[in-house]
Amino acid sequence: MISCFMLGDEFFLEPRQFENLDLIMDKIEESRELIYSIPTAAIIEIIHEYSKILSGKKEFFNYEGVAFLVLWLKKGNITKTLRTNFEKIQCLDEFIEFESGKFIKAQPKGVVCHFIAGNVPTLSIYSLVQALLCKNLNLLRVPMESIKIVVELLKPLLNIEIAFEGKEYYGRDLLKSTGIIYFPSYEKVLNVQMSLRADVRIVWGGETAVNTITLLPKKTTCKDVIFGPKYSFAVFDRSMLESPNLSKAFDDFARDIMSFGQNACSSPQVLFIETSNLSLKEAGFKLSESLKKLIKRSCKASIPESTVARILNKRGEYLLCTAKDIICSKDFQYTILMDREICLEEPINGTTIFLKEVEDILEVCKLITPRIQTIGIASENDDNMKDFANRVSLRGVDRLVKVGCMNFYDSPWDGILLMSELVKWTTLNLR
Amino acid sequence: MIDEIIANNQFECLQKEKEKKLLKELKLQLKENMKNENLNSMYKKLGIDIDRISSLEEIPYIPVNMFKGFDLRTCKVEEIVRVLNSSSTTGDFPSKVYIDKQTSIRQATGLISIMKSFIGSDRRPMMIIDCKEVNSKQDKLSARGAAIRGVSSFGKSLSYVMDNIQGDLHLNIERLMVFEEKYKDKEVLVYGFTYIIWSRFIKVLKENNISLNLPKLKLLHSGGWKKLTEQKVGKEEFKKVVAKAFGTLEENIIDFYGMVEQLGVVFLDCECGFKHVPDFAEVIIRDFQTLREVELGELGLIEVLSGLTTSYPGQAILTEDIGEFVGVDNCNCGRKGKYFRFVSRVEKSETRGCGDTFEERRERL
Repeated sequence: MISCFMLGDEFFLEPRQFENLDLIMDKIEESRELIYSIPTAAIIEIIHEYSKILSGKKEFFNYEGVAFLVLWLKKGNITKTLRTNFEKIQCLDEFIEFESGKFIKAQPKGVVCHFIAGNVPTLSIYSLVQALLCKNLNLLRVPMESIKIVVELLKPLLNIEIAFEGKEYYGRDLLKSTGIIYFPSYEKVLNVQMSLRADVRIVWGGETAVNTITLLPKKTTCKDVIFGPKYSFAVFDRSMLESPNLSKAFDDFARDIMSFGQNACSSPQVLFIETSNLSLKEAGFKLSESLKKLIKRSCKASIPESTVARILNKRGEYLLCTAKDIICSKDFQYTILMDREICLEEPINGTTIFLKEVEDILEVCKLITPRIQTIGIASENDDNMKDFANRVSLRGVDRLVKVGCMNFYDSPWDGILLMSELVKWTTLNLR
Repeated sequence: MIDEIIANNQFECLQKEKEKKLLKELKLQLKENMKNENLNSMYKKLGIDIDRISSLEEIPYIPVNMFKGFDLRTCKVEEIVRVLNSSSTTGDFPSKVYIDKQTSIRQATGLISIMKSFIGSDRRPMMIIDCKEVNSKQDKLSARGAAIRGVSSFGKSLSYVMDNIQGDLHLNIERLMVFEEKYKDKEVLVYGFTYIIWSRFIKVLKENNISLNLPKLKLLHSGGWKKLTEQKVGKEEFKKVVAKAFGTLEENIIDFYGMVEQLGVVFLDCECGFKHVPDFAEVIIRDFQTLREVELGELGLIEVLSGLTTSYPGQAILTEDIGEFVGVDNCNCGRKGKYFRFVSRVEKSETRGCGDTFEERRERL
């Protein structure tokens, strides 16, 4: 059975139940022409207005990630993101001449099926807004733990009305092309139905989810965009460790650790520090001070039992092992696990960071695989960082950002320009 | 003094008095633990001053999985008489628990003092729902073997009713019938692992339409609830079905909770359905978020403290089991001290989204 929480511009307090996707897709398909007829600039204006409404209501900020989402939805950022993807935004509205007599247009791919992961509640909005900008129809399968947040976050679109070039455009019309549903991942038949409807499958999730969904049957013309399991870490080089700006860098890094319960693919799990006049233990204490300051200001969500078990076992290991060290709170507010083994560690989560000292940050190059997404960097030496970035990105890193920005959603993400994957390039040759 | 507490009748000491006595004994034992370099490292990192520990809650606990990765031996190598291994159903490596002579004697004495309170001290004919090989005379013993060895000291004329055929357990119906015929009017003891009783014994009885007639038995079972919970079999249903199969009352089917890392400390269900802590041990149910002891009625991680061990740090072991703190000194069964309820193992699987594990998963053979 499918639980539908939003269909077209209707929100259901009690989810409507459907046996299959037929009626849902019929409803969404009705608005194919409507969304196609809205100029991209008008969609940008609606989204900008949406950002204003979200930022104006305190209750939305209770949902983690909304503060950054609001900035991301602003006109300036959306326009910049579109330009990164398309260079000329007009190509979404009309055939543009790229050679004498030769024209090209970015047409919507059609139905985009979003398979959303549950670890970051705002993920659905990033995925949906980009698909809407490309004028696609959208079906989102959202995990139960975040579906209510997603629905609440979308509601403000209902009442948006903007004027563009003398015409009225409505947020409600964007929603008409969208369905928000849930069904358990073990419902193979429903998974197959959803997959077969897709012209694009966007998959956000861990290895099991990605492997399951990509094996489902699909149209031969269907495009897959996979945002699969990724791993992130950070490096502080000697110049930063000996800099007066070090405390701020640790403060920023503490924010990276604590965001999204350290569950995001961009959440750092390990921090490598270069040998400097600051000892490993001193660095650990400095980081613990930054974490404590941040914990005081934020209300920390309770930690799942499974994470508690992982933290207890790692703490036990680092307490008992004579070659390792640990700084942690009495409860589970933070755990810093210190050693000198040059390796990446399985994520523990729950504000648990491995702090490792290396002679030279270039030693981490050998650890890089295509599974590494983000490296947070803290350095006072840009040239060093460019060299480091060159070396590690060759081996697989998708993005290197200053610490404090690791969890800021950006385009490209995982090395993919998402919107450029959500259109098909149609050519017109008049010569 | 600890040996006296172990040998005495159990569940008689009021909580406050017990805590005071036990704390003194455990602090002495903790000092001995410092001979182990890993434990010494732990105490140093935690800034533990043993003399200043003022409550049982402050005693540094060892997460139970640490017995898998570290040699937590606190006696000399030549003093080891046995090494216990956990079943390792959920982990990669089995636990290694080193036992010296003194620990072994205390564990046996402790077990007897506890069991006496529930099943009396008379030895009686005993059926073991397992195969003989699991309790073989080796210096290494599995959790199943250790539990059988412990419980079997209350039995005589042991009869193992399962056969190990190419590594698989099969019920020997003939041997079972002989036991029933011989002891049907007598008080008998039966022991088995919960999951084995359900999947290899009761199932076979049902398939063969066999009903037993052993009304005067006491059946003790332990371990393996995880698999039964997955099959949606609860404690009440288990009791009902097993009691019917043996032709006895449900109150004669007794669940007990214990672990290879705390052999000698077992928690049997009392007449009111709760698990009681003996006078030589303690249970602290710790909150999942704060790690402080929970309030009555709340759930948390079960920590088991005991004064039995001289060969490994059994003074405080934090398990991955969840319990409910039910009461202190006031159970209707009359036993004193804390009492609790075992709830489940910690659920370890979770959906982690795109921040999944680092390693690519490999096919398991």
